[in-house]
Amino acid sequence: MSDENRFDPNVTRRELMAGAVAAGVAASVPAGLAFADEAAPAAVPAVGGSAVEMGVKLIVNGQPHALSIDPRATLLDTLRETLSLTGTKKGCDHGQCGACTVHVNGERALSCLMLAAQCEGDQITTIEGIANGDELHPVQKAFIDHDGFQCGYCTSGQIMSAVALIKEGHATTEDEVRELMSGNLCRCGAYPNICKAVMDAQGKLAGSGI
Amino acid sequence: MQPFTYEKATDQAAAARAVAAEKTAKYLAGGTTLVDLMKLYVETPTKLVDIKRLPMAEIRREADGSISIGAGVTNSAVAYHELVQKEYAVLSQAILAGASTQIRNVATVGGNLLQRTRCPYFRDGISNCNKRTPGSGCDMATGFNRTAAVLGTSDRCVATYPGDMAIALLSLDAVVHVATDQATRKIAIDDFFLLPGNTPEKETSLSHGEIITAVSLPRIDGGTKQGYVKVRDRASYEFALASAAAVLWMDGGTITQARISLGGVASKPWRAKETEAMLAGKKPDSALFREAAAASLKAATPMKYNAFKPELATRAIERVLTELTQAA
Amino acid sequence: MALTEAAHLDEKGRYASADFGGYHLPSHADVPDIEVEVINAADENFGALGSRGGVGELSISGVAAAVSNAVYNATGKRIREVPITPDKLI
Repeated sequence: MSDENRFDPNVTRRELMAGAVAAGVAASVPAGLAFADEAAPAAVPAVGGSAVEMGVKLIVNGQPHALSIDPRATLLDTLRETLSLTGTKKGCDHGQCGACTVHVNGERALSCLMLAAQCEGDQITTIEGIANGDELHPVQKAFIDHDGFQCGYCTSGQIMSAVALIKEGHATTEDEVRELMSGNLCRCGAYPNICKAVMDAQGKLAGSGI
Repeated sequence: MQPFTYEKATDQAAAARAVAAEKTAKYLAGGTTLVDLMKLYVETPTKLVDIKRLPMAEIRREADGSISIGAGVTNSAVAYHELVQKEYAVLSQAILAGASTQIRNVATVGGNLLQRTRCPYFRDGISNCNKRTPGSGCDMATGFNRTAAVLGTSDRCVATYPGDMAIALLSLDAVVHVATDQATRKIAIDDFFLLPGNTPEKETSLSHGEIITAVSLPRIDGGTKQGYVKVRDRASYEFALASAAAVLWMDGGTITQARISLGGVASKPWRAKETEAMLAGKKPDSALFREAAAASLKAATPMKYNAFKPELATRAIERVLTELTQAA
Repeated sequence: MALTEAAHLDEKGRYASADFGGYHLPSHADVPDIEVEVINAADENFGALGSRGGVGELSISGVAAAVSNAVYNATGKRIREVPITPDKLI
């Protein structure tokens, strides 16, 4: 092991994670290939490979960014890795959990299933962009008031989903909130408190114009 | 993902030419299916032509009374559209029974038609799957086939068509409008989807480069009762184990005509023609519903783990019929 | 545990429910309002603090059985394997 790979007690958790991810990419194969046997498909896909970067202009939380990205970059990875907006979480990366929910032109969407290139010119809002300076968004406040989380990993997705849900205006009862929040899974099971937080925030926001 | 080039289409004809020119090029609209499958290396296009911003995002009434839904309209926009809710309620119900708001906000009508099976052996990228790698075999047939289809399957493929929207479209006799840069054509929704047969990799009657431009819903004459029942493993955000869409024309207490289609149990959106024939001209009756529903599942070919599906689908049909006729 | 989250292993040892699309965590719509009742009696045999440590793990054990009893009351079918999914009631 070379010196630079030695454990450094001064490394922050985020730096350590970034290093681990980079090392992982270098040795990456599709997870499935570890299983491959004589029955492997004839055409094993080319892994990684180089792609020509492309210029994309994104507007995130009101800020324009001119980026040069791999066309394969999802909106989620671009937010987290390129723009360091790590409040948006990567859960399943396949549209099955809701942790990566952001707003695209005011509508909630899964950033893991969109290419960043598709979002050129769109108004993208992440969890970092909904508070008013130091003043929390009413939905953020309600999640704290009602203890709408345990581990917190799904929380930014839940909040982004809830903010949009209230704007959509299709959910007036608790049952409707539950149905229309079902795209955001919570492994800890904070659902009842999240539901209360959404109902509370919805009541407070009614007519406030936010 | 495999590397690809990305370009934004400026107009429909140019998009069609760009995709037609490259055998492994694909259209990209919402991306909710395609991007997912590209991450899994199930889809490996070398070029993506982004058609999201082409002007195909309109719902309008045509002169003949039908409704035309642009292929780029999002699922949410369809489900909450006033005309759809009023005249084609089954479509609204079916769309809202699928996926989540986040996905429905992005997924388009054209893309939804082209969503691919959730068969785990198709998606895992390593198992034998004739749909993914023609000629490699079908591990679902001998594997854990609880979610497999029981109608329309073949020796080569037992995968289930996963969607909800197309099930409702089938019960509404929808028509799919497609185009190349030279010509346009219309395809009845039942002919749009193909049975797996010996070529399960070919799922629709689209040719390479053809673009879906719109889906139209014929005018519905007279008041109808419409409903969608979906049975699944959890209460929301989950594909159907069995689903049934129904459109009933009633005259007094008699069903004059019925259109019923099934999801979650067949290799393509499945018209329950035997049930429809047995209901026409009859008065609602629970014994009749049971018998008529079962008739459409007589041809079912269940396997080791999905033997429950014919009965579950039968009950889904019974339930939608009962709910619609009780609400009279 | 009672109604969802089946981990299906096939005969070749592959998971057929290897993602959140196949392995079903309960969604918002699956979870009703929950009332928590604290039993206000110390149990010092269990621990020095007098509380039954591990509120989640201990108290959850009875839930699957209770749900299974509810399914029996509703349908007359005694299901002895969790999760209780629609296919088991056919």
